[in-house]
Formats: sequence, structure tokens, C-alpha cells
Amino acid sequence: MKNAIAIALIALTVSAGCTTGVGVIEREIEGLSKLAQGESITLLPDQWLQGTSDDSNLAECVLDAMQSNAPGLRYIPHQKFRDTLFPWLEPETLPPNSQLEELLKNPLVADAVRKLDLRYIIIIKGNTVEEGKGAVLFGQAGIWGALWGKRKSRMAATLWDLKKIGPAPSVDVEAQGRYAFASAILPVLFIPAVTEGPACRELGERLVRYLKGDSVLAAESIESSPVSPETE
Amino acid sequence: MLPKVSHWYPTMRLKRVGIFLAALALSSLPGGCTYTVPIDPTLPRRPLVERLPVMVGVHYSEDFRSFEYRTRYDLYSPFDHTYRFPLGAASVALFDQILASLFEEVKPVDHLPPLSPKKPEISAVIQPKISAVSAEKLDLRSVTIEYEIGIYAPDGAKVASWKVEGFGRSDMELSLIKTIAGDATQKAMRDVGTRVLSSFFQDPDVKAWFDKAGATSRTRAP
Repeated sequence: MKNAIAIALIALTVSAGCTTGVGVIEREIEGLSKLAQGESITLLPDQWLQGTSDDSNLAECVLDAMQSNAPGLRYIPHQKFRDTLFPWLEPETLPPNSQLEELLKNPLVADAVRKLDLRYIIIIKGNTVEEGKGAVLFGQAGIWGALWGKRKSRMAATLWDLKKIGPAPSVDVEAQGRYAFASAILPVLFIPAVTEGPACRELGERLVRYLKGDSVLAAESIESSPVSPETE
Repeated sequence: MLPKVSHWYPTMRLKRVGIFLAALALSSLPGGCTYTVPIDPTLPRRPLVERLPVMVGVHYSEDFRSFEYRTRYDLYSPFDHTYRFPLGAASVALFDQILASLFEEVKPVDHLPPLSPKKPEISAVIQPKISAVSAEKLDLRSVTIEYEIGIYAPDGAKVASWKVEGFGRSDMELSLIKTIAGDATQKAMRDVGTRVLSSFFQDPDVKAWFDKAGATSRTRAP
């Protein structure tokens, strides 16, 4: 019994030592205008536009964060928006960011967008990378070894302002975490690093702040933290 | 005397079960199963292209209407499974939507031009054909369909002909293979719809023909 308590205490100590918080980096933000009353937004997953995947989980996660921070936010579901603009928002026909003006020159597209009271098209991009060390062996004597490392999720939002055609401003956040796994016969330690959720929540919160007109706060945070403090 | 009966009964029962199982396995071996892939070719309502104020004819040949693509799939099974893609009916529905979005009026015609002089109002006849189909062998998650679109003048002269390829890949998880294949096919058809709707009048021969036919092409590609 005493041994079991001792092992539990050691495991707890090791866990506490490895626990990592999630830091957020703000890379760039400029030129955003406040969302006026009645105006709406839509979020489009970048993978959709590139035609590489139909996965919309990241965009939905950011949207959830935005809606929980701004319950009255007017949002057009991305599939509905894409269907409304068919066939001009498909991977085959979508113009690069710089040619958004060209897309809106089509009177049918401009008319459809105007009817939606749409102000911003927000393109969401994201990826996660892991850097790990250690090794684990599986055998009749159980599972032996240890793994530890860093996990980074980076997400970016590019905002197309449909009232102010020009270079699209972007917001870029990064969440980091450390994970650890150790096993002697049976696993004694497992600390996951979940970074996608915090990154998309942070991105969603920041987007809401900017769209509410909190651009002064945005500018200050760039000056004070151009590169990434990792919060524990 | 009684023990004889009790020995005989379970032996016979086991034999019968064995024969039944063997027959079941044998009957499954040569046949496998055939699954029909569900395809919904519906495009979004009212695509954002302007319709030309002309009447065109459309001819769907019998081969086109009844076209089927079949592929075998046996990755996780000792038996062959055949997947049947009823592309003919879906393609008719797809081109009905595409042409109705491009032209004010579309009339089905039962043969290629030359047309009867009773139909002078038809500017041209359009005939789609399926020229190639392929599906990813591993899991039928990707589908490519190639159509050849021919445009004929009412007197039978060929105005233009070009190929359009549509590709679709499904990201569905935990679904039946036929459902995944249907999703990929639907995306390939949407891709075809996008390409035809956005570029139909960009072909110089087609544009020249319809300009000559009295219509001004107002469809703009952004």
C-alpha cells in the first residue's frame, strides 16, 4: 500500500513538472473595419477553396468561439454561401485573394452578395506539427519507454472586406503545448497536448474583438508581443 | 439401448450444420454482391450565369441514358463485390440543369441534326457523351468523370466539340463504401457543372456561333 502511494506521488510530481500551458502568438493584424449592425460574415475553410479537402472542423471551431463571444453575430453558413455563389466559389473558378475585385465585377455575384448583407469573407487556415523524442518498446515484459515533445497548432484568418477591396488583412495565432508519456510495464504517465482547440478559441475571440472595432487593442498587442511568449 | 440414440442425434445435427455452412460458403464464392451507388446530381439552384435568349436542342443517346460504370472491390473481403454507378440517369439530370441555366429554352430532340424544317427556332443541338470514368481502386473515395460535349448546327455541321473532366473526392468517414463513392461522384458532377457553366461561351467557336445565331453572349467569367 505504501509503495502504491509512493508511485502515485512520483507520477503526480512528474505530471506537474511536465504540464504545459498554451501560448498564443499574434503575428499580424491591420486595416480591419468594424462590423456594422445588420452586416454578416461567413467563414470558409481554406482546404475547401484549394479543393484539397471538405473538412470544415477548423472553421466550425472558430465560428463556435466567435458565436460564444458575440451571440448576436450574423453568420451565413459556408455551404449556403458557396451554393449561393455557384459556380464562382468553387476550387476551379475561385480567384486568388488579389482578384476578389474581379469576382465582384460580375453583376450577378455582386447582386447576390449585396442581398446577403455580407461584409466579411473570412478564410480559415490551420495546421499542427509535432516534434517528439524518446522511444517505446512493446513486448512480453510490458511497455517500456518514454516519449515527450512539443506540439504546435497554427491558425490564420484572412479577411476579405467586401466594402473595401484591397489587400486582405490577416490574423495569425499559434498555440503550443508539451506532451509526455512514460511507461514501465504499464503506462504510468500520459499528458496530452491539445493545441487545436485553444488556438481556434483564441482566433475566434480575437476576430470578434476586431470586428467589434477593438483595433486599438490589437495594435497595442502587436507592439508588446511581436514574438511569442509561451504561457504556462 | 437409449445411449445409442443420444450419440446419434448430436452427430447428425453437427453434420447438417456443417453441410449448410459449406453450401452457404460455396454459394457465396462465385457471386459476391452488387451494390448500386446512390448518385444525386442536383446542382445548387439558380447558378449565377445569365441565360442566352435562344432555344437549343439536346440529344441524349440511348447509350448515354443507360450508361453504367461498374468496378470490382475486394480489399476487405475474400469475395468480389461489384459497385454499379448508374451514371446515365444522373448525367441526364445534370445536363438538364446545366443547359437550363445557360439557355432560355431547351428542347429534347430524338436524333442529331439535320433537323426537320419544322424546328427552325432551334439554334443548335447539344449532345453530351461520357468518354471516360475512373474510381480509386483502394476505397472508391475518388471519382473522375470525363464528358465530351458536341454542338451541332441545325443543318448537321459540327460547330464545336470539347472534353470536360470532373473530379470528386469524398471525405466521409465511417460510412458505407457505396455512400462514399456516391459522395465522390456527386462532387465530380458538381465539378463538371462548374466547368461547363463557367466556360461554355469562352470557346471562340461556340461564342461565334451563338453570336451569329442572333444572341449576344452576356455570360461573364469573373
